[in-house]
This record gives sequence, C-alpha cells and structure tokens, in this order.
Amino acid sequence: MTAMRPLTEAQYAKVQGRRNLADLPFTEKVKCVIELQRRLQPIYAQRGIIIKPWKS
Amino acid sequence: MKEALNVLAELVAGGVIEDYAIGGAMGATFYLEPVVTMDLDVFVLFKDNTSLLPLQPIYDALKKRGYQPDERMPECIDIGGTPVQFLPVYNQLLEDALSHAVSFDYDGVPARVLPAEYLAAISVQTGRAKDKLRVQSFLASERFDRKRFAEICAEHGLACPDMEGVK
Repeated sequence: MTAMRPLTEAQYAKVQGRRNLADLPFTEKVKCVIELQRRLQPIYAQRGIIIKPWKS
Repeated sequence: MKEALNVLAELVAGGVIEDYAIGGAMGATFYLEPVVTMDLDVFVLFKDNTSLLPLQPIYDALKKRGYQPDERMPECIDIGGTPVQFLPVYNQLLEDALSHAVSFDYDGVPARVLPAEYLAAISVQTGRAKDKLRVQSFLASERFDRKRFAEICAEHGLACPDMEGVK
C-alpha cells in the first residue's frame, strides 16, 4: 500500500479557500450566491434559459 | 432576501403559519461555502395540518400584500426579488428538524434555519445526486456533528453514509 501524499501547496490553498468561504457571515454568503447567479446568467442564456439574479 | 425574511416573520406573527425554517441550498449555505441556487426553500408548519391545500393561506396572505408567483418559477412567490418556495412539513423528519430550527439575525431581521445535521439527514432521505454531494460537504465540514447526524439517521431509519472516524 502506498503512503498518503501530503497536500501540495495549491491543494491546501484550495481547501483553505473553501473553509474561509464557509466561515463568512451569512449576509456575505448571500452576496456570493447572487454573484454566482450573475455569472451563471450568460451561460444559461446561451441555452435559452433566462435566470434572474436575486435583489440583494 | 431581507424583505423575504421580514415577510416570513410577519406570516408567523399574523398566525398564517406556526413556524418556518430555511432549508435546501440556502439552508446548507448557512453552514457551508456558498453554492448557487435560484430559490429560497422554506419549510412551513401549520396549526391546522389537515387541509388538502395547506399552502393556500400563505398564497392568499401574500397576494393581499401584492406578491405574485415568480415569472420564471411559478412554484415560487417573488418576494422583493427573491423567489421563495414554500414547502409544507410532510414527514416526521422534517417536523423534528423544524422543532430544532436555529434562529439568527440577518442584517437586523430575524430568520430561522434548519440545523446542519438535520439538513444532511433530509438530503440522505431525498437522495438526489445534488443531495449526496451536499451530504459529503457536510461530512467534510469541521463543525458538523457527525455523531448527532448518525443518531438522526438511526431515529428515522435512514442509511447513514459511511463516516470513517466517527467519534
């Protein structure tokens, strides 16, 4: 059995980034959700699906 | 979002619903990293749960306030630009989850959200691909109480996902 390799710096940064996002206050998380909706808008529009980002 | 939470508090204060709690992706976002979702899932408990149309009093109350179904998601009501989907509590797990809902302050407005361990158990019960991913996200979270989650799964006869190292 091969030994587990430690996380690379880039992998660790990714994990830490997700932890930081999870630690944000809920109001900030809602802003992130709205930003994600905005970014999805043109992608969905290409498929003919119209989405409407929330008002903050 | 703030307007939606205000309206939910008014529905409780006005006796239209007994209690409510945010679930679904936004409920999970309360505990985990933000994920994209297009609606706000709200589980509601009624004083009279024998009605064949349990959501009708909510729709009537919201209509009186001028809120209409969302243009693109007619199963949701557009409250101040946030599509809100009301879901009646339909089983014992949801009833227990709602009775353990936690209150928090959202920019000066009170809000209630289902506990993380119950949200994960509901995801196990629902069992769609996105629910399985959500369970994995909860299990990877440091603040998630795995023991409590295992207890809830056992109480409700759910197959608890493999949790190596549960203490």
